Amino acid sequence: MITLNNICKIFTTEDVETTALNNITLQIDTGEFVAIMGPSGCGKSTLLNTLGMLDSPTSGEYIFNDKDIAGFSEKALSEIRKHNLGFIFQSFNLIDELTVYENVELPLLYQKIDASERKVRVQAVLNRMNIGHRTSHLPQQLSGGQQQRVAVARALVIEPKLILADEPTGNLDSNNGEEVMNMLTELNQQGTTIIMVTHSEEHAAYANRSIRLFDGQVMVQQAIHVENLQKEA
Amino acid sequence: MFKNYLLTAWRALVKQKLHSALNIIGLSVGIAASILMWLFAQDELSYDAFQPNVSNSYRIAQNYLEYDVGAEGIAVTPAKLRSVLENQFSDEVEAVTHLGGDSSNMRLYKDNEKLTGFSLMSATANIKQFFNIPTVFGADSDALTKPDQLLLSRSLALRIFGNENVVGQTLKLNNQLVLTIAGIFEDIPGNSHLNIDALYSMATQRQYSPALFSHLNSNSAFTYVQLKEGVSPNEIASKLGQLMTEGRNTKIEAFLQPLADIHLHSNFLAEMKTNGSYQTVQLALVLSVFILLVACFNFINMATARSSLRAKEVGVRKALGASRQQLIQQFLAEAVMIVSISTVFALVLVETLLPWLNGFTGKSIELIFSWSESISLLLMIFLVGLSAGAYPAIFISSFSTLRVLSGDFNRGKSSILFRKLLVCLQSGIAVVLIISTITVYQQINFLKNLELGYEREQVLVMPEIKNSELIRGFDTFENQLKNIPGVVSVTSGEQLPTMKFNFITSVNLPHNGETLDTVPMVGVNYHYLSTLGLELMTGRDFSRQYPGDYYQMNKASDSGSAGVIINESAMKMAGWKTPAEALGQQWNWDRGTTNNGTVVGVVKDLRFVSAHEPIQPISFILGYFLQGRDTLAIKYDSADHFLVKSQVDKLFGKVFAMPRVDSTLLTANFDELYVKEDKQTSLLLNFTGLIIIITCIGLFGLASFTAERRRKEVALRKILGASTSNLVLTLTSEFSKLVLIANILAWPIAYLSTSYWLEGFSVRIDVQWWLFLLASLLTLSISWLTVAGLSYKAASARPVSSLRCE
Repeated sequence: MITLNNICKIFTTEDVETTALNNITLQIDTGEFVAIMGPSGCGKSTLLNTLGMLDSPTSGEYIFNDKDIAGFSEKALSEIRKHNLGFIFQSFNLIDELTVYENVELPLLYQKIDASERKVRVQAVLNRMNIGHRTSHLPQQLSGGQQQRVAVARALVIEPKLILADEPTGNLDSNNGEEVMNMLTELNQQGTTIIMVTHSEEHAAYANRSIRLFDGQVMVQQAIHVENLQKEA
Repeated sequence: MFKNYLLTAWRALVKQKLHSALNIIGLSVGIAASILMWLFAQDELSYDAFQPNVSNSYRIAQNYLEYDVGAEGIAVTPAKLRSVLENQFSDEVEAVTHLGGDSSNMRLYKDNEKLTGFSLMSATANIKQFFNIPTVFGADSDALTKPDQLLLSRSLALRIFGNENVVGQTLKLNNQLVLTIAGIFEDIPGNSHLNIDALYSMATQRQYSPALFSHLNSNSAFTYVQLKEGVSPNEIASKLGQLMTEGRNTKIEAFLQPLADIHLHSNFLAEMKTNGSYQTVQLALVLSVFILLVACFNFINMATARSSLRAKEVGVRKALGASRQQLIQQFLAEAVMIVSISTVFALVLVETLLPWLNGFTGKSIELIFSWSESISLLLMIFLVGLSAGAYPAIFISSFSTLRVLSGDFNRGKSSILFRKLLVCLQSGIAVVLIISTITVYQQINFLKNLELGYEREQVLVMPEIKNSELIRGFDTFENQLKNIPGVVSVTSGEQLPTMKFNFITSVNLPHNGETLDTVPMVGVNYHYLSTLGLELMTGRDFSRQYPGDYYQMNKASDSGSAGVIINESAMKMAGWKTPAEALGQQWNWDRGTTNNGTVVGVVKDLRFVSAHEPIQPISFILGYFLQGRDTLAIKYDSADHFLVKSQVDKLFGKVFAMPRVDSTLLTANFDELYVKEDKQTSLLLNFTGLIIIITCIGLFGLASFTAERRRKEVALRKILGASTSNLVLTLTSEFSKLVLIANILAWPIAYLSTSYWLEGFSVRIDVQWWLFLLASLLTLSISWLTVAGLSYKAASARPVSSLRCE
């Protein structure tokens, strides 16, 4: 699904040039659940943003579904994003002025899906996330766990090929965190490719491959044993 | 999608109550003020636009090129001009109509009582070709073909008869000719230069005053023409000018004034009513644009300052697939929504303030939602919404998705600079207006307080009366006035100070053989100097002890003689170096007969009309009454003005057989000379106040946001030892610097604009340097006070509560 070849990302300010990604080469297949780990400042979020087409690399190849999108414009990337990618953020990033229903409906509006289909899809995904009873609530009326479920619902409503999760459990307590990880595992088992940035070894164990970064480079990639997953379940 | 935009916008509005309220109040006030000025300007520009064939209708006016008539022209023309145009210009002129001026010779009577206080005019039947005067009852203007017919306005019919439909009833012309009311017409609308309450046929006027129609020498009619296709108005004007000059002792220039231009571009002698000022309309429109700009600047400032609060939403929307164009649409829709809400409040404000505007302008403007007006309002909402919303929409939609979602959001230097620029512009506009308003106020005050050369306080001015009436009753009136406590003296004249000159002539000077052109001459009665406080430089006032003072006509020699009092300017114009030199000298003029005057006194110069006009040479001739009408002036010294006025009015009405007397004060008549400037000053003052208020609203909004944004910084500074006053200074200095810069930038603009305006006056103040300092102090103080309260509150907060939130 995804191939990165010698991806570099250099941030330049007035005084300093920072290499956040240094010749990253990796491949992610459809259906994988990949955890990206590493110490603070190693380039995890930069890599995730590049993978999520929120940022363009300075050099290198990014092949997504057999197309090199590294040089695509923001408009073109936006088009690919909205039809293929779902995002889950650490701080949920729900829009405070919209209700649960309206937050989840938003991506479908940008895809110009008609109202009746929107209603069906939104309701279905909210029910799936067990948050269907809170459709009229505003985000500030929900707990952290509930908000993250809404965020996951929003990511899922477009039926994405790939979900990118940036520290999805970072702002949650252990119970809620575990709940979110179980949801992601279930999605992955149903075929959705997931790339997750995390600091937590425990949560990284839910993935079936981990990529460890250090100073903008891939230090090690390793498969996570199946028995670990079974033990957690 | 649009529904989503509006929903988000509405909820954001409700969530940020203070910010929303400030935005809406600022916009509502700005929009309301703009609408009021637009309504005023629209009304002023609409005068006579509704008349039939208005684009091809002209009023003929004239000017005497070698005389100063005290205005730029004369609105009335010879009554004979109509027949001249019909006969000699038939190839060029499609139609001519004429309104016989409101003549003192023609009065209506009911049951032997003279009716006054309305405008009676003669007209030809084809008046309806030029003016829309709809008939309410009875016959229309066709009735004017008959000599004994009269048409009344609705209001006049109601006033005289207590009833509108009085067709068939009668009134008498000059208490002699019975006129039958043939029709009632709709009151002439306020937005017309016409002032007509009653119409009778021109044929009747010709019957009473045949001399008016026999020559081109006297001006008594308003003449209107419509031209044939392809005929140039300037060509007709040139030919008419030549025709009217023949046989006259001055060159006459004629002009054809487009009908729709009369109200705003014509302030000639003898206008039917006081016209407006194009300058005032321009001022109103400029002020309305300024105030709207200031309100929009507020909106832009507050929207961009608070943009970080919407940053997350923008980042999320972009991540979810929104294009920049869609985001711009969203924020533009939001701006249009806020402007729409503000417009609703603005309309309520407009409705509330319309009575004030109507009182101020003497109009009857209403807020009417016709199709065109509703469309204009919608267009205004879109235009203002899009203009105010454009920059914030473009700015907010440019946020980097990545940086926003990762929390690494920096507002960016360009937006801060732009906001500072807007604050500077707003403050700059306020500074220019403050300086302009005070300068205008000072200049008008200066003009009003100039040495007039006469005393205007405690002088009652009575309504005009016929000279024959005056001669009959003056002695009785004067004697009985002595019984009213407080009355000091009485006089009369064809003109009193504040009235325009009616007779301007050439004066022949035997002492040097020269002739002075264009010397205004005023026929006066005894005690004119003492009653009006004119100061003698040398010689004496007119006196009954000198019978030769009073104008006498010697039939044998067919010449007149009189005593003459001249002013200082006339003395200098005649070549006399000192007042004493002028005493006893001859001052002769011709008007049909030769008149020999002898200078008996010289008075100090006086400003007879407004200080807009330069001081003119004047000669006062005792008993030389040409117009046939006089105005009495009564000097009193009692503090109880109302008692004196009521007693004098009563006596006047009794002696001169007037049922209703409307006397005025000379001070009031003097103030009327400056009514246009007073209105302009008042307009400027009100708008300057509003702009300052809106600027303060904006500053308040920005300051509250700044205080919030810098809460952590304030807490840290406090922990490090800053006092509350240090912190207040830190927070307010950001705004004070901007206002100071605005002042420095605004000073040259204010200087240039006020200097340019002052150049329009023959006497004027100098631009005062201290005004600039005052304006700066005022704007700095107001902005500081606006911001200081919030700053103090922020500075007084406990540091730990600010840091805990972080």
